Amino acid sequence: MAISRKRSEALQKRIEKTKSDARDRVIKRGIMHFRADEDMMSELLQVAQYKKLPAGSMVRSWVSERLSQEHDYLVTADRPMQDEPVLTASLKTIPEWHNMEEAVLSKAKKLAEELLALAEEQIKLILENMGAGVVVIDASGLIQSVNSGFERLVQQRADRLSGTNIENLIISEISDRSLSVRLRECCNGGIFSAQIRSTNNELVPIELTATAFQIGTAEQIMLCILDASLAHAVL
Amino acid sequence: MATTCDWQNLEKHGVTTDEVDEVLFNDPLDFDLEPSKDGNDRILFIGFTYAGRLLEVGVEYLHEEDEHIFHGMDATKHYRNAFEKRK
Repeated sequence: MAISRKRSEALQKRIEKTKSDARDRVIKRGIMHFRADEDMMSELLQVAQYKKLPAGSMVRSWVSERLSQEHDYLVTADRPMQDEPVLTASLKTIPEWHNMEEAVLSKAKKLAEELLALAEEQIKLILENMGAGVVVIDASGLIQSVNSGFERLVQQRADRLSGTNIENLIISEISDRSLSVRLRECCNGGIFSAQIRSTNNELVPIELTATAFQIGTAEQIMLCILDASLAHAVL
Repeated sequence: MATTCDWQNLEKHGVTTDEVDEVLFNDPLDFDLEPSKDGNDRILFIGFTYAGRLLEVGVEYLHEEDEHIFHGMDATKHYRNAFEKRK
């Protein structure tokens, strides 16, 4: 039950920090839910079906378009008023230049960016909604990103896992070589069994597959991890 | 700074960590609770998720800037009324 007391300045600061950290995580996650009534949902799905687009991707492109219209507000909201005329003038005068090449290039760039963002969002949605845990590590085994399935498996949040070495979590039966070496060797080569350590030091049997890929010149490995507790219990 | 969660409590009440973040960011009301057994400050946040779910989220402030989300569930009538009154 709530109590009444004079709150210290230090505590108030921590509360504000809790809110601002939550805001950072919401932005980083990039997913927003909203409620729609049945009519709106039905119309939304019809339009998406007609346009042959996933409904979420379509709504995202609408929001993106709308935000670009609100650009003046977004740019000037945190700036002193004297900055406003310079920024808005440079944006608003573009159509008046009658420079077709620039206009076409700008439109093409915007379209390419939107398509890229749509593809990225689709991948994110798939990864977030799959039951298995997915974790991406670099060549030295440091965790780059995880999905919510992996968060559930180890009972830790993504921001805590990022930068941790996978060897601290996964216990391989092969002890003569480091896990990251073993993972690289078995990339695209089937399933291997191991155990994963959850936050309360519990060991959960898992089965994992590894796939190597490149981002620029950096080698990365994607691990797909399934909780094998049930299978082990049956056996 | 690290944030930990009581996953069992959140799971029991069908609350996700995404929803917790949405409540914390979405201009929540905050109430002081009795300190924990270890003497740590505890705050109860009441606020809406983006999908319109009104939740209460309990945060315990640990040492060294760490915090622990020890509670999350649909807001009880008492806090729902408190939230309504703010409008």
